[in-house]
Amino acid sequence: MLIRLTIALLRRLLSVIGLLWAIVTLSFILIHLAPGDPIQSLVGENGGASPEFIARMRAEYGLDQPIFVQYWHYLAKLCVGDLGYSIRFQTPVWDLFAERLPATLLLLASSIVVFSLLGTVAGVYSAVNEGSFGDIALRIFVVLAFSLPVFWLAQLLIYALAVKASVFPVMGMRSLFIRGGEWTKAVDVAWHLVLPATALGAWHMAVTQRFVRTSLLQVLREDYIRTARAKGLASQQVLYRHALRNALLPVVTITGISFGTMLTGATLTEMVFNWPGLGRLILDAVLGRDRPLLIGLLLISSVLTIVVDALTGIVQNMLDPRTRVGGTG
Amino acid sequence: MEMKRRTLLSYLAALPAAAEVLSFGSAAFAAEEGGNLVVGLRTSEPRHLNPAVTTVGGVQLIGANIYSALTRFDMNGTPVPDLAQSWDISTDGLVYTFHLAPGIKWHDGKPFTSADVKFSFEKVLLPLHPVGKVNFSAIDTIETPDDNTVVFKLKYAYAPFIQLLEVRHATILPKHIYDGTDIMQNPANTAPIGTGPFKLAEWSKGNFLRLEKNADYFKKDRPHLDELVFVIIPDTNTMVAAMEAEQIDFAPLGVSFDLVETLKTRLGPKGWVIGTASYLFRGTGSVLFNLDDPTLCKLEVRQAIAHLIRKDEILSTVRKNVGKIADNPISWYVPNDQTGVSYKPDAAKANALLDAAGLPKKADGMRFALSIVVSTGWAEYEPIANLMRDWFREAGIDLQIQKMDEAAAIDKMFTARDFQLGLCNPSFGPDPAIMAKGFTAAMVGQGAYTNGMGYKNATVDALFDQGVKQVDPAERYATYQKIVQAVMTDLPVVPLYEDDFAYAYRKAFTGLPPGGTHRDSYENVEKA
Repeated sequence: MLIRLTIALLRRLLSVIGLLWAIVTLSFILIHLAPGDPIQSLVGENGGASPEFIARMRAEYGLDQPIFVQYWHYLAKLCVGDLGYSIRFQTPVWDLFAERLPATLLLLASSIVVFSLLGTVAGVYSAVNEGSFGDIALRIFVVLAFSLPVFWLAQLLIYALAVKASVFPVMGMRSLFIRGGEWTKAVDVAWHLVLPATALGAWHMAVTQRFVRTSLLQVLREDYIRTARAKGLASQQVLYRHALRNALLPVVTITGISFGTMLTGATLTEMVFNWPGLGRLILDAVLGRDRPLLIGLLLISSVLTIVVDALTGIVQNMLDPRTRVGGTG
Repeated sequence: MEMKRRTLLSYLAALPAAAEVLSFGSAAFAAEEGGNLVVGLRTSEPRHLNPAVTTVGGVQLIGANIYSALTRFDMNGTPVPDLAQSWDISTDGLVYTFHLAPGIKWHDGKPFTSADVKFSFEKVLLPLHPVGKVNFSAIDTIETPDDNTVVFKLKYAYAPFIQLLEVRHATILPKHIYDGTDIMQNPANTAPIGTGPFKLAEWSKGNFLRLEKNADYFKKDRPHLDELVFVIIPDTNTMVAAMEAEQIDFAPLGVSFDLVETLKTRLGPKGWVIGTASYLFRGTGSVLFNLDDPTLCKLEVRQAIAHLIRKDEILSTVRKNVGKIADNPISWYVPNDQTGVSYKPDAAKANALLDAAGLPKKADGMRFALSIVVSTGWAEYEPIANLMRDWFREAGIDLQIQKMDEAAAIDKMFTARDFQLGLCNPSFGPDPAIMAKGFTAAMVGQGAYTNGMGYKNATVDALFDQGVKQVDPAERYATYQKIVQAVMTDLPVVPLYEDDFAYAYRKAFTGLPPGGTHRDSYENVEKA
């Protein structure tokens, strides 16, 4: 049992390392092949920098070396956890990442938690009230939420609720001239979070609603549910004590799967709402051909996705004995 | 014999005005002290706030409020006192003596002296500013006879010198903070200590920068505002929404020319002023030719292309009449009617020229194909290229459009020089001598906005050498007029339009600088 578990873990670890190496290598090659020069971006937008200045900057960042030498140096540093120096910001990539990650995590986490809950509640409502007006309305919402691109929905929310109704702020993570204690500031951040989290979470809510509804309808037709009802248990008891636990398993799965998509969506959402997270940093890295920063961000995003995938597996194991290694299938 | 400042200014005033005087704001308001101004900047997040080591517009714009230079520009592009309260120039143009204003302090309370000026030029601007070596190579020695006097001795007369001493090109840094350190890595680059009207109070990375009033500013009763906030907003739609929701008060780099009419309708009734104006360092939208291309190296082909382009149509349909037609790369200095060569739209003449070049039409009516590099970072380039494609077809030229982002387009045109035609917007100012970076043989393929065309003309090179050293305004003008005539005869570029800028600000403020690429502090801004 223990040996089988160890082998399974080692196999997983090796596949993760291989995947990360492939991401780094492919990114390195693609960025190198893309036209554009990080040093030209660095010296400014008006150009005219002296050849000596450009040559010195190129040497400083090792860009005068052959591509294989640059790649080898990068890999060697990566092995000791050094993601290198951002060319554009002239700061360690780790520092930039640490600076911007909290804002992205706040946006992602709040969006996932709130809209997973809302999607679940909506899914349960739809399943229990199958065919009702509420169910049909929710299903129409799901189709819309699936179809609307995140950046378009974001613009729509800004126009309706920030510009026209003036209920929420258009952009940013906090008010510019806010005075007050920590509680006031926390409320202010939450107020700024509503629109971007909604734009990002609408798709996830739709997916969750759809899965919960389908799953719950399936469970409610199972024999053991019929048996529970035959025993005279109240509908509420049947639903919450027997059906829901099994029906909610897909929520864990879909949240794990959604993470990668939402990470991409967060980039677009952050652009539209001027949210100070990793999204805008990625755009700056692409436009500035900042290879260390871009590869570092891709790598970190990949690791985050892998970690979330692993956590999803663990939670699934805890909730469903059938998914455990050596468990009953 | 010395020429006094007044004399200097009078001859500078003889130059054609490089910017319209913009009376931003209305005199109808009674201004009040204090208040906040929120400025939306459509740029990337600055990596630091040291304008002495970069040419990035956002850093210059923010830095102009934190730092000072020996001079500033007034709205007409004339140098006026800043750290230097007056200056003298020797009649041979070789010695510049600056008299510094007394009692100036750095933000940390230390006194500002002539040693800071000498240090900034010798240790920062010359070796580290991207164009420092180009701008200040004429400097021979810098002397500091006392704390309030700086004397620049030049190797040769260098007319643009006085125009290059403002904050965009010659920010003065504190010697006591930077001396003996790695300038590029000094923590003060992100926590600046300047002599300017505002101090950095908070930098919320990726979010905003908050500056607060410098109570010890050396100009009495300035600045008027208590706080100045710069919000970095790269997305145009977000910028417009923030304007409409009144989350920002001023967008100096934030309004695209094609939005002007829409914004007038949407924001005009809400107390916004939307307009367009010329600015000091305006660019010239241009078509570049790669002269190493076997087809484009023929002058008749370039002339034919010039005759196929309808600049008035570009200005009216694409640019929405924001800007002016340009017939040479420095039309702000040498007016269009003085260019000496013009290429009027004439498809018949273009066809005749192409026939004469030995490029006849084939059975399908086409002669040859060309490609044009178009940066997606500029709203007007693709529509201009589409118009050109239609016009070129009339003469049997199949124009293929190559779209790419700004970094790739710059690399293709100016570094790799792997292109046939290209659209770009070079800025040759504040002195006509700056045009040399785009048209001399030494600057071929030297990076962004240098000589990407591969243009080489020994006579033009000699004229550039001559013009940069001339002190007499009339003589200089005659030299640059000859340069323009030679260049437009050789035709390595087709200038299209002067790139005026669009601005937007709330009526509640007065005294705003015009924006565009005009870098100036907001020390005169008042809230009504």
